[in-house]
Amino acid sequence: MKLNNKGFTVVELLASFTLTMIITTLLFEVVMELKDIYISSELETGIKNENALVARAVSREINNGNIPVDCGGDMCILQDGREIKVLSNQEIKVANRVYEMPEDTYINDDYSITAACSSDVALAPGSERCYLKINYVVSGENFSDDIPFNLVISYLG
Amino acid sequence: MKKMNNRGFLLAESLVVSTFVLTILVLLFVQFRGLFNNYEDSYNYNTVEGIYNLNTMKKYLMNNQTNKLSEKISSNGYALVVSDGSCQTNLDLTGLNYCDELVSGMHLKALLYTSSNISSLTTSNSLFTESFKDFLKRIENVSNKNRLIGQFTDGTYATIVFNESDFA
Repeated sequence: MKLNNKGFTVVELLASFTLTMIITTLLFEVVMELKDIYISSELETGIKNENALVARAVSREINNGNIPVDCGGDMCILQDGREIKVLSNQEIKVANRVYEMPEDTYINDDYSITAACSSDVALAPGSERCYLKINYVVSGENFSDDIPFNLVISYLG
Repeated sequence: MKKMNNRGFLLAESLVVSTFVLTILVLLFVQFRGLFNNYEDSYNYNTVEGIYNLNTMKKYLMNNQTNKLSEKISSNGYALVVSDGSCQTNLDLTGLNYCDELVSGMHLKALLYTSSNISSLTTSNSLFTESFKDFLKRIENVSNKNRLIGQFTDGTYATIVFNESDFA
């Protein structure tokens, strides 16, 4: 039987190579974008988890009666002598535990940890209504949107 | 040599295949877009600090339950406690300065105190933005439970439920 040995023409080959190159380039861009999304979401999830742990720890201390007795704007000393404090641009200490933000992220310098009280007519005389306020922002090079953390827990002072 | 069939496809054949492929692509796109939106929302809805902050506001309201607040709930089904980052003065709340300090500390933009039925809020209320309504649509009705719904300045939302008797 006679074989069909005509092969492809140069034009056919060029057209198919060009098409393959375009598709490969597009796929590569998509893969790179997915990689960036994966990295940034992993960091954001890590930050959110740490924030959740900080919120839970602070709430637990206050609800157990371990209320702030002395706050200096960037840290608070609790009734049992332990403290709530930003240790470094990656670490926050609540009582005796340290919560660490993921690598390549950092807590901005304009954080604040404060407490204040306000006398309230609805409460018994001598009781003050107080609140502990923690504000900080976490940034990173691998994600564009800063992640703020704003927590206010009230207690009777 | 046998003559090759080089007639190509009919126009009708090409159209049928193209339509079929396009339909599949559109369906895939719709599915993925839904997944992507849900994923984005999971970051913005019911954040942990948002829920703790609403709990702080709940404690404040428990100590400041007023007739005006109850009247609003009975008549409208909801009361707007915080609007544009300020506690509302028309609810006779005591300790308004304290309330404003709480609100500014937690970066709360709006706070709704609602009865258990929130379906009417999503349909006709022009007070709320579309993104706020999107969040309201996601909330499931829980019978005999009141609810606090908060919108924060960073674009996050949170809601908590509680027994009506907590405010009695």
